[in-house]
Amino acid sequence: MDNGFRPETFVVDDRERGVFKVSRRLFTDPSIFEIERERIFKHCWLYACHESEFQNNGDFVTRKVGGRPLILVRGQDGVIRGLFNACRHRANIVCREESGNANGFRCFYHAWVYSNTGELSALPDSKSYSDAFNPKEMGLRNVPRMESYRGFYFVNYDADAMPLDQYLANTKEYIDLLTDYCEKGVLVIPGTSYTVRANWKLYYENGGDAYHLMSAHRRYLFDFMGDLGAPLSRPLDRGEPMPTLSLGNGHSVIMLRFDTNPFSLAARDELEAKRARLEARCGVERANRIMDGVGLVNFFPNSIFVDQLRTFRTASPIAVDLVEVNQWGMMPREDNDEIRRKRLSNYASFLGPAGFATPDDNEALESCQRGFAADPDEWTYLSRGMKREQARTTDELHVRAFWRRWGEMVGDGREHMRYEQSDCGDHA
Amino acid sequence: MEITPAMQLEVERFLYNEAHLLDTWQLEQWLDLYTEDGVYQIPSTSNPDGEPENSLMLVADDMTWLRSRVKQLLGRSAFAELPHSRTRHLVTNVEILEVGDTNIKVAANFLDVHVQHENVDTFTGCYRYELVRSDGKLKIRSRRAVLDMHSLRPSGKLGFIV
Repeated sequence: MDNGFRPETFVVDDRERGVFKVSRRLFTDPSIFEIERERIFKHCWLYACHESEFQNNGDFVTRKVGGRPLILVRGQDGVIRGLFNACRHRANIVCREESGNANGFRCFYHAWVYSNTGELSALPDSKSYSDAFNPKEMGLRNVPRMESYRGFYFVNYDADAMPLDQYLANTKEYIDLLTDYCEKGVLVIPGTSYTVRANWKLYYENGGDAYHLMSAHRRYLFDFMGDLGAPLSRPLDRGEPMPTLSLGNGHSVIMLRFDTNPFSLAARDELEAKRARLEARCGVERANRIMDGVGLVNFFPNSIFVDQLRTFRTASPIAVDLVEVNQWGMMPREDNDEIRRKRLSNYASFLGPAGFATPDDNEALESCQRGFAADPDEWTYLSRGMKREQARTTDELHVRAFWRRWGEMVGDGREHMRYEQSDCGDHA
Repeated sequence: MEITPAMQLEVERFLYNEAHLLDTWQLEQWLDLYTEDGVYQIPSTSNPDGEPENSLMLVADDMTWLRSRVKQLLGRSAFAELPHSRTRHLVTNVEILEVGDTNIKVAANFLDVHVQHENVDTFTGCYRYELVRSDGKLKIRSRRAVLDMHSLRPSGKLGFIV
């Protein structure tokens, strides 16, 4: 598969007829999985952390980003860095804690010590090395690129990648909205990590997929919310179709105003007060935009922010049929105890392995993965709304935008497209 | 108050009966084990000491939510558990931690085996209960299941009662 991989064999994008379909091989073939690992996850900006996770110099978290173990640390100089969590000596994992505060990191194997800005600060008996050994060149390696926007830090393993600012394209407007919602900054609250027995792309396709809400999440919208006295009683789009927008470079936003949830029920007064404060701060129009919310913002290749649940999720490929999901609550720092509790409760109602919605999502993905065995060469159809002037939330534009960028990243002879911006919409 | 062998036996039998109700999907009878102000919690694996005020709990049910959870699981829309998976709740190391005037604090270990499709998945952790007596019978005022795993894998679905 190394030579001659042509995505157009597997992705049919017929805009004239309004037919978009992808081969199910793309979810089951291990060699295609390896191509993706090489050509997507080594060349895209991947979410790593948020600046609010580092309140003091020396604060660190360890996590895998794109499958690679990193130490994300705010050094003594105040700079947040991504360091490969592997000793320069023999690759031992240097920092074994999930999070904490440290002046430096000591590898337990041979006692090499690194400062929290990454330099090799000590090693036993350095005189045993010849002049060829230069300690100044033996610090923990930085990731090739690490940049942030509004406090969201992303890493890229390609030193030549376009700046994050360009890569994010039109998502920045929505990052602004969801960040400005937090009047005194963001408080990151870690969630539970879990895996789904499905290809990572199925997870992305599902995240912003409003089309399945009424069916797959009927127990949430009708049974659960019914038990709280407020079942869904009107169409999700309130009779006025809300749009899905392609934001460039494979990103998208599904402008779903989802207020059939416990938080919307329980926090009316607090939300009104918040609107009033925002109006005073930045005017009625901006306040309305912020309070209306962003819906679901999908970041190519593998992240999603859901604003009603204030949760950011990433989906990392582990194997062709196994994806690891990580998630963080991004709550307003200014919330009092009561409203914070309501928001956290809202999360638990829907998201997470024991919520009243996510398990059904994950069951659907695992079930599709099992269904691929029926005929691996069959097509998956993603044509909904393709010829509409403006795609709706229940259309599949967000998935088509993803696949178009996917094709640009993985095709042989298209390496230049990694460094070019792209529309990815239905009418490009 | 002293912990007597009779009390130890009573608590163990209570927990074994509870596990039996869960494994036979007699969830309404399982609900009856709770007091009116009962609480069922599962903290996040990121924060096993977390509380609903400060962490992304996996489960933080009061009785309204818990009744809804049971109703959903016995209905036709909880697709993650339709048809019902087979479970086996193995409960061991039952320890009475404290006996108060009106309540008993209990800890136990669990290994839940969850069988669905061709998968056999296990989840392990410890339970923390606060039991009270009502009309001579033990009832659950608080049930907390703390998972040992950092990351739920390979199965990330906790659609069943842990």
